[in-house]
Amino acid sequence: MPETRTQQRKTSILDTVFGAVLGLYILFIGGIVVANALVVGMTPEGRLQFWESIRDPDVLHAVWLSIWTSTVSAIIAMGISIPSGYLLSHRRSRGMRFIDAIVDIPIILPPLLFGISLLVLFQRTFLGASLRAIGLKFYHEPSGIVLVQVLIAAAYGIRMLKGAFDSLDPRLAAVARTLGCTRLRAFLTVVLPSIRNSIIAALVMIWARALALYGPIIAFVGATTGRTEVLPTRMYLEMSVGRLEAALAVSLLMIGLAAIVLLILKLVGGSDGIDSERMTRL
Amino acid sequence: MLNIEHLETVAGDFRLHNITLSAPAGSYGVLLGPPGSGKSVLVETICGLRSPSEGRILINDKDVSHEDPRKRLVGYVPQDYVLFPCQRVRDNIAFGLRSRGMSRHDAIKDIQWVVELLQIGDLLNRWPRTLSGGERQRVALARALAIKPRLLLLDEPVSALDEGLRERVCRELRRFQQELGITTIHISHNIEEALAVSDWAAVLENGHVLQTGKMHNLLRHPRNETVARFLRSENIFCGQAHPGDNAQSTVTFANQTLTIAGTLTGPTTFVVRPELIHFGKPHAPGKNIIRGRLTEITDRGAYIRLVIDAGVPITIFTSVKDQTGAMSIGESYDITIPPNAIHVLEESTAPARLTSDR
Repeated sequence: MPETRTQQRKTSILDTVFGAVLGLYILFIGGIVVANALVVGMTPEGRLQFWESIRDPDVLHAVWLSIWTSTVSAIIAMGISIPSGYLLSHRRSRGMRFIDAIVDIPIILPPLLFGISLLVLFQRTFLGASLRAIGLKFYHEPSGIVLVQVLIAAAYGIRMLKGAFDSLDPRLAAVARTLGCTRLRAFLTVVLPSIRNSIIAALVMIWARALALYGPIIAFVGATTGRTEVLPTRMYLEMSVGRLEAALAVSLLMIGLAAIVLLILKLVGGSDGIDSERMTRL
Repeated sequence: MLNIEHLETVAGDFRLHNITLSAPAGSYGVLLGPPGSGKSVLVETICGLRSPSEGRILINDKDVSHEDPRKRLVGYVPQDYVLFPCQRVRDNIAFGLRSRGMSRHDAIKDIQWVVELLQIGDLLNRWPRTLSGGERQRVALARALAIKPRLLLLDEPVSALDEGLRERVCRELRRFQQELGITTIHISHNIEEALAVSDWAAVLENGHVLQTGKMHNLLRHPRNETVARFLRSENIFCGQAHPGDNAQSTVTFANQTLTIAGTLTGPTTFVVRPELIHFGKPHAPGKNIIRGRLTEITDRGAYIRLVIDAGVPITIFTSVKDQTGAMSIGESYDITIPPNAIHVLEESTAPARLTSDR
């Protein structure tokens, strides 16, 4: 009995320490949000900028553009991440390890680099000219925002889903095939539902990553007000001309938007039992 | 029913070599072997999850060697059962029927027989993660049986269960198999399990089938030392054989001499069945009587295991009621080894040349 008590006490101390670390981090994030809200809400200038911002048609356009581009990008990036993550998880070869390393490039390198690279690719090469000739325009177009977002966010999705597929028992699909499934049906009815939580987590990550991008967007599609200006771009431009309160007002809008979408996704996601099963094993 | 002919399968660095096996219709076979011997690779090849590089697999005389697993109608219960975590028990069991185009409503109606057979009606609404080991095993078996397979493959079906449960579950497996008359192959590394359920068994080692036959035959007449050691034969000896009169030979080992039936020459490996050795106080020397000192006494409940040091340790199983007199460690005893207790291995570590009729 004394041993059990000691063990319980040890676990409790560990949980307290870990809880304190987590608490400090959460406090830090919360502090930033509260500070933003205070600066906006406590000063007449801040309140004025906030109300002006949320009524400004250009800001509302930026909100809408941010929402739809991030959503479309998240869907396309998931379409890339699911098969890519599965393949990288299930095919082990030297070539696959090389491809696996390439997938990490958008995660490691500064996002601005991709904006500049896309600009060069679409404006200075034969490929860009050919695509323009057949009507596919990305430069200074909202579709360019989606292209930038997909390019960068898909890397995060692939990395997350590869991890999920790695942790899944490969025999699940094998058993399904012995029961009469095709490979595709086994993948759709057994493999994918078994990593439902990870898919939702990846979707959240991809959407949030897409929403937050601005450097490569400015470089590739610019920041034309009412056309290619997304919320982070607006925030950056407000900040660059010294309108701190306006930048903070846009930042609060973004925080609110992100909070609503993430909450909806978490509620829709629920628990698929896989993670809970893993936790009970621990 | 199932015939495997000269099968070879490559699985990474591992290879199955020239596997030839036959499972009669309605029989219960056990593939025995140590971990890494190729049992699972063989079963995965039979159910179509691996493709053979050579040889054929025939089910009801039809070559299915390269047929898609979904068309083979082979029920497969993998080790640890691998239930689909995203589906309730009911949907796990109905999965095979739904994959074959049946509606969910019809599939759930169609699985009632297997739910009743395995008595898992109260589990249908549960998630796999909430089931105990025994319940998972039943659900996995129900899922495999629901498609009414021609052949049932069970990969270590009781290894994940508690020791106390295994024997009962083995008896149940055998009962279900007999009720359904389904040809079954069961992977195990446990001799007691194989004895409890099997009509026939095959011993595998390093991708080779070393011996097939009925379990009691394998235990009494192992073909070689590897099979004998795997089947836990206690007395395996190597000696030099010399042919004698009357189709008999003498074998010298560890300064002892035994008379063995058959004409043998040269290095010979043989096993002596411990339960057939007679044990008693020293008396007059005679044929196949060996004297030694008692070094170990272990009460195994149903019998007593003795070890006599006669230059080499010789194990004896003797019944409890025969040993009412006191036995003392260190005392000398005579053991008599009757000819029927000796089995010469066909393939010795150092090959013996057998010239007797076999």
